[in-house]
Amino acid sequence: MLFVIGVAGPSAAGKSSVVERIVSAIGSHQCALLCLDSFYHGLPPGCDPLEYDFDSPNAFDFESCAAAIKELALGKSVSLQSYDYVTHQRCGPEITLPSGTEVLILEGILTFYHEKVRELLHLKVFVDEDADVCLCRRIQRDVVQRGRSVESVLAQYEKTVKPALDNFINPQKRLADIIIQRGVENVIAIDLLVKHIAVKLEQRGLNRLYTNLHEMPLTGQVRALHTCFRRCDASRDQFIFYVDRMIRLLVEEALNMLPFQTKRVTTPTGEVYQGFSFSNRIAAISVSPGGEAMEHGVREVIREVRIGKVAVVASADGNRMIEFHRYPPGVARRKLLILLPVLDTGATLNTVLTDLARIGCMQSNMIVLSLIASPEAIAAVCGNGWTNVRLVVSAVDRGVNEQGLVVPGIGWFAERYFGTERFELSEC
Amino acid sequence: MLSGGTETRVDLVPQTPQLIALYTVIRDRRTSRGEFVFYADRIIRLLLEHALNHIPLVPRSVVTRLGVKFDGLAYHEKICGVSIVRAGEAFENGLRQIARAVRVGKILIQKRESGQARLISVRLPRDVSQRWILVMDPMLATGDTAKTAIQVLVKAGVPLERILFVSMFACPEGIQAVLDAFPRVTLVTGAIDAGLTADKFITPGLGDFGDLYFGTCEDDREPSFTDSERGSFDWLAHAEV
Repeated sequence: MLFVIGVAGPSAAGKSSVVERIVSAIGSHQCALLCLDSFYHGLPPGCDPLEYDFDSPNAFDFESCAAAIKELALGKSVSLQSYDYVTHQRCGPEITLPSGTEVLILEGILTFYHEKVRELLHLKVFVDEDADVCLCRRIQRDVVQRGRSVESVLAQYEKTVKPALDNFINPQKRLADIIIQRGVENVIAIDLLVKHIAVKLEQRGLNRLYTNLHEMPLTGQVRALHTCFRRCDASRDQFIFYVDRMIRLLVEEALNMLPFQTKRVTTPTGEVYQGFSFSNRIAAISVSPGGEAMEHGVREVIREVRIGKVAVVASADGNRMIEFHRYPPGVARRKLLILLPVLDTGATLNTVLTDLARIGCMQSNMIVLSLIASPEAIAAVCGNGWTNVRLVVSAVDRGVNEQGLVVPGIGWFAERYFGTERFELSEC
Repeated sequence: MLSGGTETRVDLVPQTPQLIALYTVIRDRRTSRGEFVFYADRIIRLLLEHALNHIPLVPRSVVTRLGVKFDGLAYHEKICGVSIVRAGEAFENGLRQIARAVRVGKILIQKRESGQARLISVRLPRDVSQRWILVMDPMLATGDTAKTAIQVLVKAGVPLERILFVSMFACPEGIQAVLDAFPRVTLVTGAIDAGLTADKFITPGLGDFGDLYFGTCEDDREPSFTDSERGSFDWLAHAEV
């Protein structure tokens, strides 16, 4: 899984030094670099490069940049023509990013500016520096190294650089995951960043991309249980037994996501033990049909838990809508365990989360429990604005088939667990 | 502390906040018996599910309802639970919940005044030597009982590699004693406590598990305490219903 880091910030803020430091720390063999500058549009004919606004978003071809990242994420190698600063056209030496790249760092002044590029970034780093320090560096660089006059540098600064800084570059800070002040001098911030990237590289699959996805450790037990209930010839009795066992483990795993407080108790031997106490105000929301199968597993561990219900149906046009809901009192102030055994496309879950958000539930209070999820559903939920909802799953499957079911999957969950199917009202 | 090389034979269940919170409830001497049994059962279920990971599985491909192959794993080995009477019997229900028709043997051992363990009775399936054995005893304190029980299994022909000793509480002294005598046994536990008191209880521990679980002790707990009266206990904070 390609992990994409975007580095943005004012020009001369120290972006490339920060990137160099990251690359040397995590090892260049795992890391590919890409400059947003490589995606400058060619200079229109007859246009004076000294008059052209290189700091405006219009100067960049964000679409091609997004296309290149997508290509790389598919595991392919990508070749592109670099930007030639002499002719001001994309005809410079060819850049090749190798297939199977693990980490891509995209660096440039407007890396988070365009939505199509931004949505491909898994970590957004903004390198910040005082505007006067940036200007000093710019004067030094352009006057000393490029032989320009101070006046022309200041004129360009006033005309294009400063407006772009205020209007396009600095507003990106709001979108950043981390802002590194003082650039490369900020050793601690860079160290934290490098450690975070190292953790990501160790994670497998989609866990790397979505911090809010928690896949249960794949122990032999988990795989064996999945084998028992996924097989098509499992009897209903076996199916229910093994699903219930898996659900119990899933619930215990999910409860770990809740906050705990420290607590001191005295044991019967008279010793003091420093432990934890459970969090309070928990409720479950089961998504019908299917979610009810998980209610028992929750009850087994939190006997008095309140359980709300929401039923979602697909309407004729394929959109999901809420057919019925009944939530426990004070639902917005509770920590919610949302029970949905199988995440196929993620559309149902999306509808449920939207409804819960509508009545004031906070994302950070929602934990979704699923036995099986497809990568599509995970992307649709974790990557679709639900970045603070936690998703606890026992397996991530290959994909979704044309019927919208996850494969290898389990089939129609509710049909197998309850042995029933939905009747049309006209039949009744 | 434990001497080198024994760590690999000791499997401490990951100490998640969730597990520690469960242990906090059963360690608390103010916990009622109803709650004690409930939370002990939850821990036991987690311990047993964890312990089963030591039993080898074989690769097995199955076809799902969608006609697609799923590469999984299957149970292959026969297992048998052996509870150390009486405290170990608290594990039996948990074991049945994950393996419904499992055979459960029993070993009754009495502690003499001298601290020596004396074997009273043994029940095991005839083919015990062909099975993986989950020896169940909540407390691994001095290790005397554990050693006696393992000796019984060895005599019955069970290879040491196939013995998993599952306990809720262990301490360095007990672990050392068992592994000194039987280095190839695997010990699965949910907590390794500081040590033993003068009268050989695990500390901080929780006292006598069997008495607490089966309610055979005279104590200051309210005997008529029922779930509906639970409100006064602050540790059950999530009981806001």
